[in-house]
Amino acid sequence: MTDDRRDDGLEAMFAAARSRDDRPPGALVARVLEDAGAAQPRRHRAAELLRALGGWPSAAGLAAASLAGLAIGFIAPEAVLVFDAAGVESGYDLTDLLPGYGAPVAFDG
Amino acid sequence: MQMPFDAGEMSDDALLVAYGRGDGRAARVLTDRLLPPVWRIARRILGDDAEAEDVAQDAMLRLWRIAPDWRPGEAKVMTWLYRVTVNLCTDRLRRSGRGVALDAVAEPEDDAPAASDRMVEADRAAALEAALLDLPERQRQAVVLRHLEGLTNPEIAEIMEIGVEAVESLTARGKRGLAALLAGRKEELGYGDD
Repeated sequence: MTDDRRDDGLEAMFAAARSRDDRPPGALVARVLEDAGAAQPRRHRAAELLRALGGWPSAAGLAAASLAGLAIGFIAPEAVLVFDAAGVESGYDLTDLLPGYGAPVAFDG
Repeated sequence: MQMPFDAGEMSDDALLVAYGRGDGRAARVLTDRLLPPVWRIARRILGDDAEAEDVAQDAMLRLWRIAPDWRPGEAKVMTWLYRVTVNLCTDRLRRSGRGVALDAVAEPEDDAPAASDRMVEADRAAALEAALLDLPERQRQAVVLRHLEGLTNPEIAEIMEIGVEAVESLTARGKRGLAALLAGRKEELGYGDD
């Protein structure tokens, strides 16, 4: 049906276009990654806080009261007690951040 | 608690789910994999770098936003993302009036230069990409996805939301259109000499 020679010629043109390995501009890549960070589900920012503090061992070493204050300030209060539609894994409870937070402890205020 | 993360091994599905659960590294891997083809497709369909960047960024943003709701195994991430990209391009073309279907393919230019040397690959690529922009937009989309991105007809059918036969018809007409558009530059481009 089609002209084979014409097809060969066109195929060579396609091959030339395919071989152009242009990459997206760095600025575009940066914007896309920035969008990814901003769109990331909110509840998981608590995990970033924990990494910033050096993980569990460091977090456990801080005074419980001061860490609680920092955590509450960093994480929006509504996220602490949120229950989403799924009902499970609905957010970070303070007991996740501070093992033993619920236990009786003397607060300095 | 960090999960072991061998990004090269993970499917798009798994990466998107990981991103939706808060893993920022998954976003970087997905961007490395998916932004280049999305950007290429948009460039070739729109023929405008600035608009192509807007569409590519918009398509990826929609991907980030759907991540929490993404159910692995239901659809391919790539198919979904390419469909979004093509639809965004179509919207832009229609808004600017550049996507109007042509009844007849444009006539080749009368004054085809008859250079004896073949042009280098870059010139062939540029000539092809310019000719693509003269095709009706649906033919252009089908040809880009089939012959430049190497997708199969069933994949293209899903992306363009048409039947496989419709895809075959669009690519066949697109190729005939390109051949006609490029015919006037045959000698110059070393086209049809092989």
